[in-house]
Amino acid sequence: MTKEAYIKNILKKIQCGRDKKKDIQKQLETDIHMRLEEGEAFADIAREMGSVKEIADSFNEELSEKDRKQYRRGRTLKIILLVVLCLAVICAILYWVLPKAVPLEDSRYFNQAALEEAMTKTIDLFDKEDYDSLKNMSTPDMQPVLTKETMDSAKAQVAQNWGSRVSMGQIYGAELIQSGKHFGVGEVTVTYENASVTFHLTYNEDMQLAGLYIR
Amino acid sequence: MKGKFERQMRKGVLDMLVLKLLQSETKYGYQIIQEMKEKSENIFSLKDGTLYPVLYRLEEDGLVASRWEEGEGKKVPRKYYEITDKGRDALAEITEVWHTISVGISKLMED
Repeated sequence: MTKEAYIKNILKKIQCGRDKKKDIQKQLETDIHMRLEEGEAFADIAREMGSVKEIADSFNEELSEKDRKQYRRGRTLKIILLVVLCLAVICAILYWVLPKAVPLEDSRYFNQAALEEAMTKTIDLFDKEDYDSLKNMSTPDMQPVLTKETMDSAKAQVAQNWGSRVSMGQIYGAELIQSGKHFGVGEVTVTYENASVTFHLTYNEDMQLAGLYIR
Repeated sequence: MKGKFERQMRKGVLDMLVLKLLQSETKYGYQIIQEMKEKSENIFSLKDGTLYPVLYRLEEDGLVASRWEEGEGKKVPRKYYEITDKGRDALAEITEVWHTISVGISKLMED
């Protein structure tokens, strides 16, 4: 063990406040230094001075109630600080991860007209089953999903045969911020001959289709 | 068994011995350890871990006072201990107690 490790280990075990520990550290360093100057080897010095446990136990036995209180107070403070820090980190993570909605009129990335245009185009292509064109306006993650097979399966969950489109309702949109990314989200109810379907569409900052949900 | 009793007996007289050594002059910790060893002819060969807690306690009780002195040149600073007036009074009382106890022990240990 080195001189530094020897002293550090002793101080770790002594249950007193910081000021007293600094004084004890200085005292031990002085004594070791004087013995080294006399030509003693550190291993012999450590044996003469006592083991880490012996020295620490000896100090702890003689500590006053004031020292013990200071130590307990310091330890409690450290625990409180640690808990506060953990909570702050958790809050920061949650703030970052949880989605936050911003009205379109306050958005720097999206506007109602552009969102309506994109959603209308998306639903038009969806109705025409032009999935290749849909893929071209979608993110890479969305593209594998936009197949006739997948879309037919999704449509069947709502109704077997939707029929032709009758009308499209009002488009409601907002910006969604999650994990530092901005998305334009819109919802519209489209009436078909045999079904009424609500489309929930999500676009990234480049107005690429990033999510499609129907019910 | 012997070791345990010996430790207890030595511990009991340590305050008195440290105050006695400081009675004549101010000393630093390592100096107290060396002097105690020499004057007792190695009977009291203290470890730092035993002496320093005693010195801290004596200081908190107001029986000794300490000060750090910066070393000259490359020498490390040293912490010097000095007996206080209260410490001198305490030493006188403890010494009297010691003599009384010694007499009592001697009488009890006689065959």
